[in-house]
Amino acid sequence: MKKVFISAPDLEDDGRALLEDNGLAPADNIGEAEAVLYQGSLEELFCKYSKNINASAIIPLNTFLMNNSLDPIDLSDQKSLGKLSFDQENIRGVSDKIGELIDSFTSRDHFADISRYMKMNGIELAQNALIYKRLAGIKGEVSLEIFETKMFYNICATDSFGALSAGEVLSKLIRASVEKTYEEKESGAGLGLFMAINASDFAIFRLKKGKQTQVCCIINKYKRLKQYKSKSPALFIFKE
Amino acid sequence: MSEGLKIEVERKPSEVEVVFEGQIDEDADFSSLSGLEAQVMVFNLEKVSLINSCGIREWVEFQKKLPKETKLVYRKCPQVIVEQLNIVKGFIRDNSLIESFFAPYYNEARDQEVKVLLTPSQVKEGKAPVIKDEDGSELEFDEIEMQYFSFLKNG
Repeated sequence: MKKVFISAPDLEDDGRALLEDNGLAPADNIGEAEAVLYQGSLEELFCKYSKNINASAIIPLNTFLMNNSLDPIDLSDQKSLGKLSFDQENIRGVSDKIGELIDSFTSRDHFADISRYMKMNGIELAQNALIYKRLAGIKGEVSLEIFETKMFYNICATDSFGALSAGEVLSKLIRASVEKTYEEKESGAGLGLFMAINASDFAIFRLKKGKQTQVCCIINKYKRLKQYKSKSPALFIFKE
Repeated sequence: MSEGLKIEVERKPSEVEVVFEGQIDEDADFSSLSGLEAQVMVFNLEKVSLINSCGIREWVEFQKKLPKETKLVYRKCPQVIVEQLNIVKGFIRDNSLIESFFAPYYNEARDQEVKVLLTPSQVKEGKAPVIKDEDGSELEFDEIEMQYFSFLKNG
């Protein structure tokens, strides 16, 4: 039975019953939890519990109540809108390619700035991998593929080096939340990752150590900016 | 490839206005502003279209190099800049002034998004001011007030 910690002041003592009704075990502290359900912002959660979080699923309580599941959304019907590969490009070249791809399909059915948030996500994810590649002096491709379903856009960056561990993902995000600034060291990757995740409804990390890292940021096709800004992101980390 | 960040400097009697246009990223080159001296330096940010995490670093580091006695004023901050003001510590320099910024509104009758230029004094107790279109219909503030105006609490 998965151990779940709830950080939701509104729920008070009902949290234990909610978990048991869903076949889950309440965790006494956040450090032992495999999944965390939270209310408020991800930033508040990270600031409150800081380095004690080890969970592989961090989900807004509302999202959990809607889906009754600790799993990410089903994307089996997604179709590709385009794939880009990067090798030696500078950031301007990366931005241009991503911008062109996103401008080719976003429509007026969504709030206008959705394309800006998608571009930002694509740039941050691709840039993180490319900066790491450059600093480590390693070879290998970085790709960015964008998918859509009826309800979502899914921006997926994949590298072929697999340098990121689950612990690093969480520690970088927590650092960015607490310090609210960039890292002094050149490799960075905390603030940008945090910005990308905060701009998403779901962020899914698939980590194959030494082989591949895939980060997918999924955004609902909201009609209104206000709906988009009311969301809280769900974060999932899968290790192989 | 698209052009980089464009910077234009206009000297006025009471201030030096620096107009930025385009994307602030790791390639942003602020060197044309080094050595620029002014009692009041106004950054007009209306045409900044995007800023990424590397751009944030470049921007903050650039401002650190400006003379401490120069008063910095931020004019026409678009939504992309307001979002950074609300997230990133040190995005603007201490003791600086946000003169004006854009806020997103929604015109339901026309199903249209509108960016409205506001001044900090128009935001009372964290509430978005009432804005009407030409027909007198009230627009709806299209953000979360507590989030969007949080940068004003620090001022």
